[in-house]
Amino acid sequence: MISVEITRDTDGNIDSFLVKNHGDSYVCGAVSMLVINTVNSIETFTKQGFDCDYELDGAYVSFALKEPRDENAAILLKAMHLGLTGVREEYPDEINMKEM
Amino acid sequence: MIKLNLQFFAHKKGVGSTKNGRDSNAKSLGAKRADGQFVLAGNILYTQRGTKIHPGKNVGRGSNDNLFAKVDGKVRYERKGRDKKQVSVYPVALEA
Repeated sequence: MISVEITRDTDGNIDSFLVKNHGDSYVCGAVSMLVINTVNSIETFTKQGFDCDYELDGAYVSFALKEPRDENAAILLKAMHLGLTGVREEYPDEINMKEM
Repeated sequence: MIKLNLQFFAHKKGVGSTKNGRDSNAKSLGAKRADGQFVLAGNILYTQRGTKIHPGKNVGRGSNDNLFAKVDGKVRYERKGRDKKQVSVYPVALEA
């Protein structure tokens, strides 16, 4: 079961997330793609500063935005959340999402 | 940039490498000379582990259980007792 913990800022935008644990192949492929591609896209296409820590064997990615906030990064994070929500609706036993 | 590994959140078979995936090279054991074939002294007749085939007349057994001819002659695979086999080499002139 993959677990996703998301925190939001006062405006309701995602400002950090932690994705951890393992899942079955197709769900883990989807989550891996969504999470890793979002982090790489923010790094590549925006000026958003962030802290990111991850470990393959431990299977976790922790990500937190720094100030100032870049609007494009917020959109990319919304897109990731949309995707993760979709995966959870289809595979509720495989992924657990918590909003803090 | 994080490497896009689709197996990032996949079940791991245990951290670190998998346990299996090793094998020794095929040893292609078995008969190296057929029944009735002419061989020279020293030729290897049969490669084996243990004595699937026992050494018969004019055949020696090496330290690795391989059977080899001690004289020039023809190869004969024969029965040995009730359920064993042996291989012998008969010099061509003296063949019974």
